[in-house]
Amino acid sequence: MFRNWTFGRKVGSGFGVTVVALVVIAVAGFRSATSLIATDEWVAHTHLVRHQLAELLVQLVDAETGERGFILTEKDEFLEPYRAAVAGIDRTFADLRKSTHDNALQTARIDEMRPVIEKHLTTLKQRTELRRTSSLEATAAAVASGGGKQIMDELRKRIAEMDGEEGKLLDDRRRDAADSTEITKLVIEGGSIAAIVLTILVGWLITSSLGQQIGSAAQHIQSSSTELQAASNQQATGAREQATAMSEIATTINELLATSRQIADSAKRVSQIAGQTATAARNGELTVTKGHDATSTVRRQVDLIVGHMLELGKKSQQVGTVLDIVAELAEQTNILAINATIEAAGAGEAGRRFGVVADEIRKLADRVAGSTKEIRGMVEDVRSAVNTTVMATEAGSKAVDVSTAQVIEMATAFRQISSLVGTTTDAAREIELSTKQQATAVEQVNLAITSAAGATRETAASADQTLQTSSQLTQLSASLLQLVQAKSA
Amino acid sequence: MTARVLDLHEAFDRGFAAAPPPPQPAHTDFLCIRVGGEPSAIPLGEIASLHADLQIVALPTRAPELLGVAAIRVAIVPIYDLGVALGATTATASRWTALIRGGHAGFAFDGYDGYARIAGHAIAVPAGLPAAGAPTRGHVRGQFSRDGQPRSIVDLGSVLAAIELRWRPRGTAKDH
Repeated sequence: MFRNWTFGRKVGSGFGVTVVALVVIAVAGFRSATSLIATDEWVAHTHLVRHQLAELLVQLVDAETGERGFILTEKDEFLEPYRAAVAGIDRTFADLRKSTHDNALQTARIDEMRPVIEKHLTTLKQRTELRRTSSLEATAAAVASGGGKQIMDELRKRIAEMDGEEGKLLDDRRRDAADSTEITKLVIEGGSIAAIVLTILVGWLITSSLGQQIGSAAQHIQSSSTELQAASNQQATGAREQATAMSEIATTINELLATSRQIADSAKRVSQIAGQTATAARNGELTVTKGHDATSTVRRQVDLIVGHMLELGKKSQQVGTVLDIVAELAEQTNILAINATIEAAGAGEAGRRFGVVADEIRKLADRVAGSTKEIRGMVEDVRSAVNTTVMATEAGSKAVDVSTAQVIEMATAFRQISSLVGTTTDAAREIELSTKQQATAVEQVNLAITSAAGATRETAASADQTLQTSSQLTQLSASLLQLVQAKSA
Repeated sequence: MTARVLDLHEAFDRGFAAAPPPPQPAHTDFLCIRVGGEPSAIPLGEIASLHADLQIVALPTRAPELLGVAAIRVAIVPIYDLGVALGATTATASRWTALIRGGHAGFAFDGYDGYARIAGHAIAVPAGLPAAGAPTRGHVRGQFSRDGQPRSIVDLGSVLAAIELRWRPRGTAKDH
C-alpha cells in the first residue's frame, strides 16, 4: 500500500510522523516543565511564607526593642522601630494570611496567633504610655511583671511551628521539583532520541521508497522521452511533409477558386440565356396557340368544304340519275325512230316522208344519246373530281387533324419547354448563387488553408523544438536515473 | 352545252321543215350491233322491230340457242340467242331483241351501236357467197366498215332457217 502512495503523501506522512513525535515530546516536555514550574512556584511560595513569618517575627522583635529603648531612654527616636513594626505588622499579617489561605492548618494557626499579637502590641503600647507618665523603675517593674516574655515566647513558638510546617512543605516540594526535573529531563532526552530515531527511520523509508519510485519514473521518463524523441522526429518529418502538402493544397484551392468563378460566370450567362429562352418559349407558345386557332379555323373550313363537296357529289349523282332517264328516253326514242323507220320502209312510197321524219328523229335521238354520253362522262368526271376532292379534302381534314394534334402537342411541348426553361432558369440561378457561395467558401477555405499552412510550419518548428526538448529530457532522465540509482546503491 | 342544245333543237326543227329528200342512190340500212362482243350488222329490211329489255320467259328445251318466248304486240314469239345461234358456246347477257320480219321469231344480242346507212358499193360481198335467202352455215352475207371498224352482215333469215332445219321434226323437212 505504501508503494502506491504519492510523492507528496509519502513526504507529508514522513513529516507528519516527525511532527507528531515532536508534538508528543513537546506536550510531555510542556507538561513536565509546567509541573516543574508549579513545583518551583510552590517552593518559592513556601520561601515567601517563611520569609513573611521571619519578617513578622522581626517586626515583633523590633516593636519590643523600640519599646524597651524608649523605656530606657524616654526618647522618642527609640520608638521609630516600634512605630515601623506596628505599622508593618498588619500588612505582614495580611500578606501571610493571604499566602497561607490554601493551607487550613496554617490559616488556623495564624488566626490563633492574631489575638496574641494584638495583646502583645497592646501591652507594648501600655508600657510606652506608662513610661511617659512614670519612671523607669515603675515601668521596669511593670515589664517584669507584665508577662511580655511569655507572650513573645508563645509567638516565637507559634511562628516556629508554622515555619516548621513550611519547612516540611518545602522539603516535599523540593522533592516534587526534583522529580519533575527528572521527568522533564527524561522526557526531553527520551523524546529527542525517539524523535531522532523515528525521523531517521521515516527519512530512510521515504528516501528508499521515493528512490525506487523516482528511479522507476525516471526510467519511464527515459523510455518515454526516447519514444517522444522518435515521435517528435516523425512528427517533424510529417509536419514538413504536411507543410508541403498544404502548399500544394493551397495552389489547388486557388485553381479551384478560379474555376468556381468561371463556373459562376458561366452559370450567370446560362441563367441569362435561359431567361431569353423562356421568353422565346412563351412567344413560341403564343404563336402555337395562334397556329392552333388558325388550324381550327382551317379545320372548320375543310369540314365546310367537305360538306359542300359531298353535297356536290349528291347533286352530281342526281344529275346522273336524271341523265339516265334522259339516256333511256333517248334510247327509247332511238328505238321508236328505228321502228318507225322500219314501219315507214314497209309502208312503201306513202311512208317515205314519215321515214324521213323518223330518220331525223333517230338522228336526233342518236345525237341526244351521244350528248347524254358526253354529259355522263362529264358528270362522271365531275363525280370523280368531287370524289377526288372529297378524298383530298378528307385527307386534308385528316392532315388538319394531325396538324391540330401536332399543334396541340407542340403547344404542350412549348408549355413543357417553358416550364422546363423556368426550372432551368431557377436551377441556373441556384447554381449561380451556389457557385458564388462556393467561391466564397473556397476563399475562406483558401484563407484557412493558408493559416493551416502557417500553423503546419509552426508545428514543424514546434516539432523540432519538441525533438530538442525530448533529447534534453532523455539526457535529463538519464542523469536523474544515474543520481537515483547511485543514491539507491 | 347551250350551243349543243340549240344545235339539236335546230336540227330537230330542220328535220320537220326540210323538203322531202331527192331519191337517194342505192343503199342499205343496217342496225349496228355487237354479238358476243363482235361488231356485226343486221339489215334493217330483215327485221320488223327493235326492242330493249324485253321480258323473256324461259322454256324447257334441248335447243341451246332458244332463250324462251316473249310477248310482242299481242303475239307469243320465240326468242333465240344470236350469238349461240352463230356458234358461240356460251350465252351472254342479251338486252336487245330484234323481231324478224314476219314477226314469227326474235333474236337477242348483247349490244346496239346505232343505225347505219351504207351505200351498195361500200358493202363487200365475199366470193362464193350464195344468193340472198340461201341457207349458209356462216350466215354472213357481207361486210362493211363503219368508223374504221369492219362489221359482218348477219343474215337473220339464214340463221332462223338453220335453226328450224336443225330442230324440225324428221319427216317434215322440205327442200329450199
